[in-house]
Amino acid sequence: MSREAEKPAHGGAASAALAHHFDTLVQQRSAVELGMWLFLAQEVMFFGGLFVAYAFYRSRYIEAFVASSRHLDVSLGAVNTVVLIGSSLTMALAVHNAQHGRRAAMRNFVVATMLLGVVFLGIKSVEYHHKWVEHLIPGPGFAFEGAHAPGAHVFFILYFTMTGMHALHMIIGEGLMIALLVWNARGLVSAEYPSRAHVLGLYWHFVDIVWIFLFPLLYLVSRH
Amino acid sequence: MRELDRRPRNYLNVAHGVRSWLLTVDHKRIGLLYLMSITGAFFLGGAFAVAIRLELLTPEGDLFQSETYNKLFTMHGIVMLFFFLIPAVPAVLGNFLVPIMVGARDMAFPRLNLLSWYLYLLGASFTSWAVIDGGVDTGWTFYTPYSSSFSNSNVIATALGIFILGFSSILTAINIIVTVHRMRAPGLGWFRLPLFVWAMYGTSLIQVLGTPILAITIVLLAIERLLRVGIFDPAIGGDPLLFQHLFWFYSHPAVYIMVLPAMGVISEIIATFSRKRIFGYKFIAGSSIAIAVLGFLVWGHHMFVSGQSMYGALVFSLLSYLVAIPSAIKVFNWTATLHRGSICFDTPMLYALGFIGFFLIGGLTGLFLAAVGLDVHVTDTYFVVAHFHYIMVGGTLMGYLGGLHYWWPKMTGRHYPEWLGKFAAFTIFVGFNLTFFPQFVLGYLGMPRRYHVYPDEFQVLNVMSTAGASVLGFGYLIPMAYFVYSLRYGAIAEADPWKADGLEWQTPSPPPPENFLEPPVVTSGPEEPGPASTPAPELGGALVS
Amino acid sequence: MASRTKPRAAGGPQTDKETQAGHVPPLWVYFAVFATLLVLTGVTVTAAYMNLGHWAAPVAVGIAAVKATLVVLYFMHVRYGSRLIALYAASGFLFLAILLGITMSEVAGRAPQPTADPLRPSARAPEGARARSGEEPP
Repeated sequence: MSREAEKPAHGGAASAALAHHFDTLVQQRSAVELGMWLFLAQEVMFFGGLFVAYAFYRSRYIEAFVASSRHLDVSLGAVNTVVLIGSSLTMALAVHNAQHGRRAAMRNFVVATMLLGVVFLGIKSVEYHHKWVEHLIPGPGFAFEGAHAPGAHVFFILYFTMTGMHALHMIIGEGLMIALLVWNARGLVSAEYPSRAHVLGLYWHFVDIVWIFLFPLLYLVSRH
Repeated sequence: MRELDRRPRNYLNVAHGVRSWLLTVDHKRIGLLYLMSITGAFFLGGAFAVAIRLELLTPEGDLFQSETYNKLFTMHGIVMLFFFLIPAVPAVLGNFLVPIMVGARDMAFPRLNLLSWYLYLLGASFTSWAVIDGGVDTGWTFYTPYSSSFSNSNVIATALGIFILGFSSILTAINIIVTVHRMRAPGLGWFRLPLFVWAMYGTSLIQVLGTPILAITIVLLAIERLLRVGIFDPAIGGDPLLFQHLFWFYSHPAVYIMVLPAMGVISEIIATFSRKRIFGYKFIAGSSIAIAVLGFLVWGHHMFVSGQSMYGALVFSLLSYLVAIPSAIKVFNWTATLHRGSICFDTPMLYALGFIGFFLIGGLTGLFLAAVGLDVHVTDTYFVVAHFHYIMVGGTLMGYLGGLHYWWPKMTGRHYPEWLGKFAAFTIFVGFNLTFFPQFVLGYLGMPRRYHVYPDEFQVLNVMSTAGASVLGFGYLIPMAYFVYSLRYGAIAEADPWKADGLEWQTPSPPPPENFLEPPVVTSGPEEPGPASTPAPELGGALVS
Repeated sequence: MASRTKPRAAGGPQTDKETQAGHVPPLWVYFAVFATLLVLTGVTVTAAYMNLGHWAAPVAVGIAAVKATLVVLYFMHVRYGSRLIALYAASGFLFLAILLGITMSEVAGRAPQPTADPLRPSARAPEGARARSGEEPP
């Protein structure tokens, strides 16, 4: 079959990466990248539904949202924002190194990304614990002083759903990073076929973008 | 299938055994796996329909209690919509045909394709469990606060099944979009693509962008139900209209997920059986994309009486009229294709012609409903029920059956018995119209939907409808029987039995595992000059030019 | 359609501009974007402590949108890729905007409704509408 003649001249990782139904690695990389972007488009809609619910209720319960937002710790939220943006930087550097075939550097940056992600999740856990102590977990145990209780209840449902869904995606991201390290160790990430790193990087950046919107909308409703 | 083994190597005889099917990554086998699964779903949804129509023979609620009847129409809707109609053309015909039609060896992501099927099964398991465990009674629309605060039925299990099914849908769509963009054969520019591929592309856009909203709505519904917190329940500060906005933002485009692929099938069949090039190729192609995009703008027409603002109602009404235009463009172009064509009334063509007629009625009655003034009177009546059954059964199901008949020889290498095909099609047409046309009248006269008790004067029309349903059900059994029969006893099919255009007709029936014996290079498309159909080349093991 | 058999052309017919050309941004770009994102984070925190009235939400979302755009263009390489990728990258946000825009305009067009928030018994009432203060929450 003519396919044989078109495989890259050098063997090894590159030709091993070529799937049977693609003709060239370039085509495969291109397809994989488009596939991840489509997945991210649907993720935008998925989280977007929560943002619609947020906008809907913020317009109705603005004072309650202001009061509730003040119960969130801006410092921890800001630190987490910096942590996550930093993890995006390390992820971008990891992908950069993958595209240049520098596997060891890529591994180091992926590990750095994972560590920053763990820091983020750790701080989140601390915040959730604070909410538990303050009786601000939605449900039967919810207690909010003052007349804004119904709106505040809605705020905290949205807070936990949105940050919880985000955290779930971060945990999945951590798992994907482990997979990436395994693939890298097996030589499945190379300059000719960096796609595994590239598309997982896209996923990680997307999770960062969700937080970029969550932070001001949840923590910074109004602090004046 | 020993006879199959004597035939040239094809995707059916290349491997045997259950494992070769359950672990396949061949898009053609996956299409057949879906075919079997959705047929099972069709039986289940059909069983609920039988129960409903039996109950409605008499004005009293004498066969079932009201609570049970609520469960019957709910589960009929859920099973038919999510587990039959949404996957029917995309997952069966789309999976099988799109890679072949673009000249590729497989879908872009074959393992993801198999995962999609397993997600379908997983979702179906949850919903089936909910059915067995006592059902769900909220209506397929799950309106809050009933579904979130008051219903005692298996809402979360059912919703979870639908949530999982949504991801099956999304992954199939991603596969199709990437395949169309990245895996076309040399020479296959966008305007040489078959119109079925354009329709599948538009459908996939809707699936990717719309389904996640349903998913997040289900998450919020489950949270409200589990934690008793007020997202949608007005008694505790929520707004049921938020649920309706989110729900219908997906569920209206969902109906285009159902009908658009069927329209793609019709475009293929009409051209072949008129022995003409399709008229207005670019308009039909563009209308598929227009329907996909415009379909996202009209969801509020399901909410005219819900309490939304009059401003919102006016905007949605106007946009709903606009979205009818691309559909009408398709119907005009199909008609122009038929004009002065050399019409062959083979079974696929019967279904296609039926589609055009029934979709016309269904679509026009949709415009009646888009007029706010009229909608206020007929909303939540049998008028709406008749409208959407004309589109979904008279439209999508006819398109699905037409496509199944048209591509059956390609998929299985066998012909179904043509005279039985025609007989079944006529039976289905008679049964379908007898079932659903009286429902337009019933709705207009005021019979509400979702009620099993009705005034005596509506009984005659209801009896007609049930009689039609019996004929319709019998009609559906006939193809099921002869398709199975044909697998063993049907005439052997050649590569191009219909003398049609398209890459799928230039490869053997059934196709080899890699779809083509030699990778194709395309030199013309459906709208370019040349013979409408290419004579099928001699096949002895390799295609020759 | 007519076709003739021929070995498939090398290179594949459809690939993304970025993967074909192998464009990646130079290293300094990543650090510049990182620094900008940090600065914008500081700006958005500062803005929260200012009295911006009705502009608080648009400013916050606007700053977040700028940050997100930087991540998409540079960290996610959209600036260096094909228009198709850019289109799909934008598509989610575009359709989200449709959902958000039409839903919120529907809400905005409603008559004042009682809410469960007793300190806001009537939402922004249009001219001439009856005030509903003192009404019990539903």
